[in-house]
Amino acid sequence: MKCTHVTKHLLQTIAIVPVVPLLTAVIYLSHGKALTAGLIELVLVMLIAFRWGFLEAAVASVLAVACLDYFYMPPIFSLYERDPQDWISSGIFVTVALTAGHFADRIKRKALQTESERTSLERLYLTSRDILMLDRREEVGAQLTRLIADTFHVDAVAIWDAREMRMDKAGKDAVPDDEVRATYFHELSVNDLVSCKFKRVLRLGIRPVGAIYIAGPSHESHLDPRSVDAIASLSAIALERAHSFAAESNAEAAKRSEQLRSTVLDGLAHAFKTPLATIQSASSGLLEISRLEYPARELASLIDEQATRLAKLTNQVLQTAELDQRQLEVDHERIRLDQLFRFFRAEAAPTLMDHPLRIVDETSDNYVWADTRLLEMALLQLLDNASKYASPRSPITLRVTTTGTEVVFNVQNEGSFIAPEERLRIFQRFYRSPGSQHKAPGTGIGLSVAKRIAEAHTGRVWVESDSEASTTFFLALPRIRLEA
Amino acid sequence: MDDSQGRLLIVEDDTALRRSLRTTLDVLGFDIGEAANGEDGLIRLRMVDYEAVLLDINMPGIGGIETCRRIRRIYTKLPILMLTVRDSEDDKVEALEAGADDYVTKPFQTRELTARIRAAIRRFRAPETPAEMSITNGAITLDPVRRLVERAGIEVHLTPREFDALQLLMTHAGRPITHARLIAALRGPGFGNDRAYLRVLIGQLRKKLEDDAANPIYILTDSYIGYRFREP
Repeated sequence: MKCTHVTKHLLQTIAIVPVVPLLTAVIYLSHGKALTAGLIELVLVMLIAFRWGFLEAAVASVLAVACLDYFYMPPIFSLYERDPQDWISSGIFVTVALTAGHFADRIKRKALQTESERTSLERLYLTSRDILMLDRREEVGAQLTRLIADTFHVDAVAIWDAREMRMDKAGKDAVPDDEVRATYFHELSVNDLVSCKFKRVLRLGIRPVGAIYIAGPSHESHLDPRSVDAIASLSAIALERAHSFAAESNAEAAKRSEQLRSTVLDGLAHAFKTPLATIQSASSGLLEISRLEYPARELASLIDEQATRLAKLTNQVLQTAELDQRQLEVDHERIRLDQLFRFFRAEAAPTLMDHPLRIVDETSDNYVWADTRLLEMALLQLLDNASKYASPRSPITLRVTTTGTEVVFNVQNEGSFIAPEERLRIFQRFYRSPGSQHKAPGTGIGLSVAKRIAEAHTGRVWVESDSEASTTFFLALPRIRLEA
Repeated sequence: MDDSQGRLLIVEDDTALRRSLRTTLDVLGFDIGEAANGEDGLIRLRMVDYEAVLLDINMPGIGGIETCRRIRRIYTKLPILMLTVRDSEDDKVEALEAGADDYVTKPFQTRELTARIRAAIRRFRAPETPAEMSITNGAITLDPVRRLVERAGIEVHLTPREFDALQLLMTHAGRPITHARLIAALRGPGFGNDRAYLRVLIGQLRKKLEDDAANPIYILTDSYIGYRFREP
């Protein structure tokens, strides 16, 4: 690129060399005065400066002085000057010509620069507009590289998307993949103006998300480091947009699939409910009416127990479906904790299998504001969960404490370590931690119910677990105090 | 009366469940009549003198609750047991307010169901006790005329409201009394739904009458529905 540039200047300079003496000779032969000749030469120098640049103008002005000297200053037809005044006027001519040439050149450069800035701004504007219109169903990287290659007329563009580990290329020239990746890994910013290659790491804020490589044609450069910076930011934004769109549609798909699962499950549960009630009625009736002997009695009990279990699961599914469908209406009541505990001793204790239930009240209020039924349901779920996973015959503790702003219920059991990465997920509907399928029966619904109820009370649920000792589920409700 | 455990009408739209109930209860000594819906049930009631009705709450046609209301309009004393589903407390309360005596939640254990039916029929067959007669249930005796309550022969001092609540519960022993009915009886209708007050009042009664107020044996809680005094 540099080379052709120099050649161009050289050719132009060579072209000037015969023109100036010829012009002067023509003026002289047509009896033009020295002043006319001088002014014409001056105009020529300025035109050259404006058209070609300062270097050519300088050469032309020196030539012009020499020619004027040769044709007009005595002794004529010689470069020698006798009169010191001629020296002065020659000097002035050169100075004026050079100054005028310099300004003409500057104006031209300025105009060119403005023009090129306008072009690059226009291109950047087009690029940003087109980026907004990228088809998000197709690969954004590929579209983006094509877009940059077309808009900026460059020979090669490559974009490395670090999150997707994906390289997209466009343009006629080959792209060195390793260099592009290296740009990302070393967070480089390279402007190679000689070979017109630019490399940038793509960032969002300060976070690197990929790298871009642009190699422009050397003869006609529309690229400057600032434009490349702008392209890099636009590309980073485009990639991010694509990612968030993808994430959004994934979340949407996940939500849909959960809804579908819920619908199917709820439908099944509804369909199972009535036959299950009949099976239970029949099995318990069989046990009730007849004096069955050993094998028959055993089998009838088995049917009865399992039908009861299925009915319980079905009921749980339906209960959560109901919680999911309607906006939970929380009917706040002042619940006395001793009454609540009585309820748990009566309702929960017998269902906890071999686990003794300890209830510890560490509050100062001895009441809580909540929806009685929902709170009982949520805590029963936590107790049920604890009984399923606790070490055999270990006690389960239901403890209530108050903090400045919350009433915190916690249900603690021994064992059943929950890994940190599981601790959020276990509250999702249908989620069952790997391995728990074999440990305890369940549908992966109970904890999601507790969470839903806590949230309806603008409370929260969480779990703490350490591998050595115990697992504790917490349910915190806002502490409401009504001062009389 | 007759030898049978009682004449029972089953109004249930689910054929399989009806079959199962009929078989079991028949063997257990009840005379069973069947109807597949409320309208049918009302017709059958006109033909046979039943001593109790087992009525499903969810049925096509006029539905369980309306059937219950219509039965109650004609047969003021006939025991009506509703078959309800779990977690439909509102339905249960509605059924009780429509005149049902009790409810059994599906899925149920036959033992529990038959116990309820027997109790209902026993109450139905029992001669009407005059309103001024003392009621004794376990260690508790209530004298409505003198407004006295004794526990194991020792007089227990009750406030007038506590007495009224206890009287209502004891005259309907074995049957659930809804919160709303208790509140209405205590404070007059239209006073509002002051459950917290009721809870305190029941708590006081339990303290005075029960050995262990935390584990009551007389005044039992029907979660979300109301209270019931134990079956005599």
